[in-house]
Amino acid sequence: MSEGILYKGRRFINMDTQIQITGSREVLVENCRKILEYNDVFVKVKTWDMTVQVWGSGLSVNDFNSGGIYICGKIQSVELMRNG
Amino acid sequence: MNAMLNDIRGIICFKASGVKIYRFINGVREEGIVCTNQHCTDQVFYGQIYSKDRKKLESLARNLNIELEITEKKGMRFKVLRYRWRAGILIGLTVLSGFVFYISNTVVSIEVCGNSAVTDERIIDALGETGIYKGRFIADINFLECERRLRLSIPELAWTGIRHTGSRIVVDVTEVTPKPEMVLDDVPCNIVASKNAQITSVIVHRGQLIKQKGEAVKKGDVIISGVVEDDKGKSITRHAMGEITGIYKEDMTFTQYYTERKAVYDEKSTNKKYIEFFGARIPAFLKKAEFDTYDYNECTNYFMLFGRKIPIGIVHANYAPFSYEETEFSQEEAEKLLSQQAALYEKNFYDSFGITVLDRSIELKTDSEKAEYIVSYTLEGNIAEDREIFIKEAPYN
Repeated sequence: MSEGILYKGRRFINMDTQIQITGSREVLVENCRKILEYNDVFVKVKTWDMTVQVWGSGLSVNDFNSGGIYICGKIQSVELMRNG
Repeated sequence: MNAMLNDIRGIICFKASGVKIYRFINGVREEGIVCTNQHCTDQVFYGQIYSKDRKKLESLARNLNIELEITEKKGMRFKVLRYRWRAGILIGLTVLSGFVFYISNTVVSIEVCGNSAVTDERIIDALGETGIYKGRFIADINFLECERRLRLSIPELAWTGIRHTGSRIVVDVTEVTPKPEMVLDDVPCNIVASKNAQITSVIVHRGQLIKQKGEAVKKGDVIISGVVEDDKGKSITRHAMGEITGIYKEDMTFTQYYTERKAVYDEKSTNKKYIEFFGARIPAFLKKAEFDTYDYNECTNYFMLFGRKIPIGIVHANYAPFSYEETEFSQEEAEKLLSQQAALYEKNFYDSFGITVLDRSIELKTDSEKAEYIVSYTLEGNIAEDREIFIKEAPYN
């Protein structure tokens, strides 16, 4: 019950995690809170309710200070894990 | 567009490493620093920021004990800042500004439009007298006054308009339509003799011939009368027309003094060059041409750029110095000069008017100062002259 209310609330204030994958070259993670791990082949970022793991090669991040980050490079997989 | 903006804003590439590298990466985000091209290799973080965020980044790195290194600075602002203390650039910019101001506010070229009979040079010379010449400060020119004065100085101009587009003065002119030569062939007139002569040929186009070929006439005698009788015997006046040739005499005196003041030109003339630069003349020589009296002529060769003449060129000035000297002539030389004078007179006043010189008798008169040729010419040429018939107007009934 409370989870349903939280979900609706986050959607209402647009704080839900949004992920947009463009081909295999770019992943946009909106409402990113923290970068947990970062190297050429792996980027792990934390959003409000989940952790997003992006695997690939030659990964780089562009942050335009809009709350989201663009992960660019050759993307191989995107993994989602629920927090806590 | 984005590249141009980045060029103006300035981009700084950096490299950061340290124990708290992830706190630094997230700190960059939390500080609101726009950071692009981020990548992390072997715990070394690379990225690009705008130059305005540099202080924030350095402060963050200091707080987290991160070793920060600026690897590259991209953009125009860094290039400009690098050269800001170069005196040459400042002087160059000042000179350039001065030059732009000069060519924007002074007359650099004068263009004349709409003229055909009056030459460009004449109009430009007249403009110079009214106060419009190359190098003149445009703001000082009273265009209305100059237009008026230009019109007055060249009577062949009916209308003038002077305007300026930038540093170019454009003079629009309209020339007066020349009055055609009026042949008043309806005005009653006689043809009379203009000289005492003997008639050698007569061609009558209209009128009644009074004097015949071979007859002698005095100046003013009627040769072809404009008063003729019609079929009914009534006298009517006409415009007499015809060609009358006669033989007549004319005396001319030519004088040559034994001593004459004459301009003697130096054998060597001097050439100098100037560089014309947007109306200003810069001498391209060290020593000035210093002569008391000289003839001067010049020609300007302008440089061309993409087929168009630009107001930069080289002026070739030629100075032909001369001095006045008293020249003595012997009797023989004086006679030779008199013969030349007579020949020149005949060429100019007889040959060019179709008058034939039948005979000439020359009398030489000399005194201590001069020699004189008194030449009696026997000439054959036109002796006809129109003379209007004045008729008393009939009373109006």
